Amino acid sequence: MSERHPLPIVQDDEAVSRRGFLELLGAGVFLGGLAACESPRGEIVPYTRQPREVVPGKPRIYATSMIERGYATGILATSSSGRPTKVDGNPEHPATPGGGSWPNQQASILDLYDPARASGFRKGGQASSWRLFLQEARGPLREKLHVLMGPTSSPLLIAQLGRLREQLPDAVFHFYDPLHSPSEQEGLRRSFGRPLLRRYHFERAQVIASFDSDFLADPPFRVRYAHDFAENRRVHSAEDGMSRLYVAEGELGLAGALADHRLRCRPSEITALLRSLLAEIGRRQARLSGPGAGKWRRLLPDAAGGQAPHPWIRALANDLLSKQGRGLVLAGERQPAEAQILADLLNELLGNLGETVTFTEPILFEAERLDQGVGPLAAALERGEVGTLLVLGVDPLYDAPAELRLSTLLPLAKRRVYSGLWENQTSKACEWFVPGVHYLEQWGDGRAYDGTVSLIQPLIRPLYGGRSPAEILSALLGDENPDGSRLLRTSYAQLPRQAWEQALQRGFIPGALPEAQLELSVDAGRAALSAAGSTEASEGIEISIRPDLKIGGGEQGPNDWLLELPDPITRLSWGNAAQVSPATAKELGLAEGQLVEVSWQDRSIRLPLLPVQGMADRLISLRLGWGNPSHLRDWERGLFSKDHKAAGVSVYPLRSSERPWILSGGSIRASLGEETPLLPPQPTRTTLAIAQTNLDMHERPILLGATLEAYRAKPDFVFPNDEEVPDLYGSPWSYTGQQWGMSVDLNTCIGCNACVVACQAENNTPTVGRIDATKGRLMHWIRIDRYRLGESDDDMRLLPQPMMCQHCEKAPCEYVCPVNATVHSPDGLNEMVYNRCIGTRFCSNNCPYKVRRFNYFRYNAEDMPETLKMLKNPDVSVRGRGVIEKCTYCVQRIRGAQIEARIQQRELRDGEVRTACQVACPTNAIVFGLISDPESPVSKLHALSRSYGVLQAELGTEPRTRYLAYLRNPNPELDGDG
Amino acid sequence: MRPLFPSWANSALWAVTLLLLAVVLGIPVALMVLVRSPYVTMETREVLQPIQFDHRHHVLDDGIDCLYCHYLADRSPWAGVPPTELCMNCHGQIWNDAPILEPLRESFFTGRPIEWARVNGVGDFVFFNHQIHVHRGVGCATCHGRVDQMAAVSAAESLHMSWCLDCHRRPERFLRPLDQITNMDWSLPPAEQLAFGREMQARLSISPPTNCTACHR
Repeated sequence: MSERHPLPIVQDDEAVSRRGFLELLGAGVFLGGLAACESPRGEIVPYTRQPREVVPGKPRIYATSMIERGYATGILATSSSGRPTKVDGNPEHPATPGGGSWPNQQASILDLYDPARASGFRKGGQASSWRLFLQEARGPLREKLHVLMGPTSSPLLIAQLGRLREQLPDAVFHFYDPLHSPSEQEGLRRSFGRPLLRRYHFERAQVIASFDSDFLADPPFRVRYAHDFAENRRVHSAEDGMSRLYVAEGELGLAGALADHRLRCRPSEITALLRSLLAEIGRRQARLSGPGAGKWRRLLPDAAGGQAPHPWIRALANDLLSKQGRGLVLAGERQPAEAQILADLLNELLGNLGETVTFTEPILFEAERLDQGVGPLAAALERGEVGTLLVLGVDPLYDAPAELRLSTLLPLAKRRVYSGLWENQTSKACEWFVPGVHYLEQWGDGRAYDGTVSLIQPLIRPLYGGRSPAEILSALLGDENPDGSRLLRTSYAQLPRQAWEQALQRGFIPGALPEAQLELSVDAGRAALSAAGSTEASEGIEISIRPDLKIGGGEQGPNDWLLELPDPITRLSWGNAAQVSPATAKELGLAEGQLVEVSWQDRSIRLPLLPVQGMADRLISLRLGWGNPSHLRDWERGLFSKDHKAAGVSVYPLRSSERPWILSGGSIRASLGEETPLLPPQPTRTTLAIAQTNLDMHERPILLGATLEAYRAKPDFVFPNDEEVPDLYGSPWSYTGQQWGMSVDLNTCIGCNACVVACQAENNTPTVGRIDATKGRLMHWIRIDRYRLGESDDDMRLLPQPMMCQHCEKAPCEYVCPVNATVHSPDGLNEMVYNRCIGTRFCSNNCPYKVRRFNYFRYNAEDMPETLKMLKNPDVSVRGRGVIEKCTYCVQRIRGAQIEARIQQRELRDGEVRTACQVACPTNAIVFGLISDPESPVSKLHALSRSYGVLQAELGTEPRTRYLAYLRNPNPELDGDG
Repeated sequence: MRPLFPSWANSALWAVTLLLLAVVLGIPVALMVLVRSPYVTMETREVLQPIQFDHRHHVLDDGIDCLYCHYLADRSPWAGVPPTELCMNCHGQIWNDAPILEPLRESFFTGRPIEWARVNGVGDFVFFNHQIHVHRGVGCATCHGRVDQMAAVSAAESLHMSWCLDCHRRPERFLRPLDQITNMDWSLPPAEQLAFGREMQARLSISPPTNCTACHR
């Protein structure tokens, strides 16, 4: 099933009139003539005192940490002449093994330089200063202090909060994370009697059953989970095994899109599914061999009985029973406590507890307060108990449940202080504003999900004069001159100097928390079994709210790289939409791009509709994080208009404290443009900026795959017939010396988009804005295509395929360039010479992979804000308008390494050059290196029988980037219906 | 019947046609000559600097090596201009009250850098690397000329791509021993130079790249 979408048509009101064009042309000729009069060579501005460790022109790399929802991840940040220009995962850090990262980590460097960041202290409407704040912090601000902040695991902040509580006994701390789901902790408390942290071990799991859990995409340990998951999916020979992934979910997640078997169901049906899985295992309890099984035998018959289960559940039960201790059942954190307990119970029965699921003590400070969110603060405000309200970074007026009426309650606090990177609704309601600092500007610490203490060290002084939370809290503690560096060092005073420097160099102090030894409470299991029987079947339309796959809950602020990045599943950029299944859209008579009103009880929001294949029917999926009215973005990067709007629509108004995620009994209807006199009628539809409008391969061999069994029977299945490869372009020139190539493993690629943003950061790729994105003018040098495999909607896969310049040995683009702007290098790179390009775009038209990008407007404007210029990689040309550009295999890294090797008078070795996408990939799916060296990893991967060049058999282009075909590991019991 | 055109019209037609042809061909040719002329390449044009720094005095009289001040040249893509602090190593002691050095002292005490005028520059799309050239036997004087004889420094070469490629294609004409890189006086008779250059090229396996991404990335 495939729907063809027409390409959007340029609307007239967006285009420039003929007269306007001629005017601009005339002005351009005149001004261009003026500019040509001068011939500046510019200035050279050396240091007055050069820091000893800095060699201008040579980047330096520092280890630091980024905090996400309270947990630390390791970061390696590159500093070019004092400007941080790139961040990657810290390969030694437990949260980012191998140095992989996530798109939001890659994009975090843009936040540092965001020209929209708040600068300057403010009190009321007046400019103020840190000194004035310090004075007040020692006096009136300490009175009846309430602190509202995000969750924290920082030993430094925790110690400060403790001291603050000693000094000010009436101080109250509130921890708030809009994406926090209390039901997970609730389930753990009931199962094990105390708050805990659950940790999965995908590297040990052979059968993974995910129930509404997108474990590949959900922070804070996703890079680690993705890495571990991929380790068990990597197949290099017919003898290698791979794990089997079952996913039951309503919307399509990263994990669900790859699942070997997928069950479409609405989120409210998950508990019932878990119960029927438990019943099914109860029926086969004789096969249970785990040590815990005996204890539960008494309980299980209760669970048995009922109607015959879904064949999917039966097959999964068999599979889990055959891999006891090597299976894993996950319930999504949005699911109710009952579902969490059922998943724990299943893991206990199957002997997975302690194997694939372990627990540690919680790491977040006063995690139980996190469960309560802003509710207690709202109550305290209402009672008039709040003297000073200090808000650190969070924006509850945007993302807290509407029924708390925080916007009316907030002024009840006598003094309100806000500190954060951006001005937002909450900050505007506060009289004091203290500019915050980015993690690349501050000293601090935090703990990774496994408990490893990670250090944050700055690479640059605060660009906008901000102060860190530790410094603000220290000011409240009476410190007259808080200094982040001293505060952090003092809190690790027990470490001698050498050990401290070593820790800073590594970015963390090794040592994970030990596993907690636990016993699952029998009462909880019994209660869950009986309670689960009474879950009501949900009626009508169900609304499911999820953190966005790119921007989470919006806590990272307005980041153009992330806003423009196509969603990993829907490929939608610059906004969110009400996602429904195509069948539901048809049933409701709604079409893509149509504006709809989604309502639940008395709340409603208005946003465009987007049918998404593979979703459960009668389910609306909404993504959080969009439409923050404080974060206005340029709608267009071109020449002609400047339109500032918030991207997307906020879904937070639909949420309530009681029901933050899954709302039954919602409704959806087409939003009719209401006619208001004197105002133009409201539009009823909008053009969505979707990067890929067709998921069908149209029987072209683009993304190849087979089942594991078929691969074992015929390892070279990617070449089904021995037809002669056509030779359209003559014989390739002979290649001698070192040759480069890349291998992309489609079996371990999870389509997370980290490579896309990493490439954007490395190669100075501009954003184009929403309007040009709707016209298909995105500039990303690497894109993640998605192709649909599987006939039925019930068991389909939507597989990712990273697509960038394939560096063909017989490159079609090279034959058509009239000015020789794209040519071949002796080491096999397809070179793009920007200064020769005259922008005919013949090459782009002749490229079968459609990976060449054209800069239509001044996306990289010369007059961009100075801070954004600081972000640019100094080793890569900043391309202007009218020039084609594309993936270069990070040629600046290759040439740099070659120069290093030549200076040392040796051959360049494989592994010395890693491309930006390769480094960023959390699953090591991308491998780059010397194909001229038969021992190099990339040569070995190219030699595998699954390795194929896209369209090579059809066009004979001899691409240097080759793909390892996708493998699926279906359960023979279920094979046939998918 | 009287002819429509007088007889000189034939000559005039030829003259006008040739003139037009000369204009059509001449303009591009003139432009091509212009970009190669010193007017555009700024060869030999002396550049005014915020401090009248005299290389002749520092190199010839004082015998200071190039790498003392331009110490990045053998360890970074950029040769760089010395930080103020480095000038003050000497000028904190000698000529420390010379009026001509006032901008230097001001920079040192205020921390505001001196803005030197660039003399040698390539386009933003060119990534030139000093380090590799210095380590592979290309002397300072080969590209920068006899800076030791310049009162005010001017560019010695056009720095056009054809000029770069001229050496990259046949480097043996310019290579010199690695211990003579900063020697302004060093030279060999042409015949010996070729023999030495070839020997050095083989010894260090010097094969300068001539593909596009060698410099354009």
